[in-house]
Amino acid sequence: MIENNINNINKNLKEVGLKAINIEYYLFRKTYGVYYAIWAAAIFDFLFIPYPIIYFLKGTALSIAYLIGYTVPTIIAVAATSKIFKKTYRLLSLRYAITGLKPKKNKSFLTAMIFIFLFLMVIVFSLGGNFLISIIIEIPFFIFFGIMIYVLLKRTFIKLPLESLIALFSFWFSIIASILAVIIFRVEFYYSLAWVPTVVCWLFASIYGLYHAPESLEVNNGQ
Amino acid sequence: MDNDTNKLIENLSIIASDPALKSSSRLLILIILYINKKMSFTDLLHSTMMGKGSLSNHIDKMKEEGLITTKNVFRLSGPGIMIEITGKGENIYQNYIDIINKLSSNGSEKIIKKSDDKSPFKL
Repeated sequence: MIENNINNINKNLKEVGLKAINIEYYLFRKTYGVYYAIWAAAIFDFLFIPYPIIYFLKGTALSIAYLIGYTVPTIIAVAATSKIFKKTYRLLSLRYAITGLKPKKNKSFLTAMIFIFLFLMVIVFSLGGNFLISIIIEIPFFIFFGIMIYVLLKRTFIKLPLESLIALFSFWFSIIASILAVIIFRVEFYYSLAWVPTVVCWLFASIYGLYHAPESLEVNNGQ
Repeated sequence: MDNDTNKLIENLSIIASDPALKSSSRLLILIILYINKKMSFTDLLHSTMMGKGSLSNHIDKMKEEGLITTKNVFRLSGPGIMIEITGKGENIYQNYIDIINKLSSNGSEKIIKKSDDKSPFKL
C-alpha cells in the first residue's frame, strides 16, 4: 500500500520534471537566439573595428579605442557564454534526476579556456593588433569555440534545431576559409572577409531561433 | 521501515504539506525558475501556457511562502514583472531532486524510457 503510494508520487513528480525539461527546449532556443546575436556582433567587432579605428584615430586615442573596442564586446560575449553554461548544467542536473543520464563535469575547464583565450586576444589587439600573432591566437580559439558550442548544443538538444545547424556549419566554414585565406593571400582583409558568412548566418540564426522557438512549445504541448 | 525510508517519507511530507507546492503547476514554475534563476512574467506565461489569472494566483501563493520574489522592471519591450527564485525556493527544489533520486534508487520504476524519441531533449 505504502509502496504503491510512493510509486505514484514518484511518477507524478517525474512527470512534472519531464514537463519542465520540455519547456526548457523552448527557453533554450530563445536563449541561444540571443546568444547567436551577441556573438555575431562580437565577431564582427573583433574583425572589423580596427579599420575605422586606424583610419580616424592616432596615438593614445588609438590605444584607448582598441582597448574599449575589444574589451566591452568580450565582456558581454563571455557573460552570455557563462550564463548559457550555468543554465545548461542546471538543466543536465534535472535531467539526470529524472532520467538517470549523468552530466559530464568539465564546466570549469571550458570556462577557464574561454577566459584565457579571450584575455590573450584583448592583450594582442590592445597592443596594436599584430596580424600574425593575433591569427596564431585567434584560429585555435575559434576551433576550440566551435567544438565547445557543438558539445553544448548536443548536450542540450537531442535533435539540433535548424538555427543551431546553420550556426555550426557557418562557423566551421569560416574557420576553414580563414585558414585558407591566411595560407593563400596572407592579407588580413581576406581573413576578416572569411568570417562574414558566420556573422550573417548567426544573425539569421538568432532571428530564426527567436521567431520559431514558440513552435517547439506547441509541439511539446501536443504530445 | 529502515532509516532511509523514514527520511524519504519525512521529505515527502515536507513537499506534501507545503501549501505552495500542493499544486503541480507551482512545482513546475519552481523547477523552471531554478534552471533560469529569473524570468519575466510574460516569459513564464508563454512557457507554462497557463492563463494569466491562474499564473498570477500561483505566483502570489509562492511569493507568500517566500519561494520567489517579484519586482517591477523596465525593459525594451516595456514595463513588466521579473520573478526570481529565492534561497528557500532553491532548497525546496533540492528537496524535490533528493526525493526523486531516493525514490529511483529505491527501485521505483522510471517513467521515462530511453527509447522514447518524442521528447526533443536527450533522455
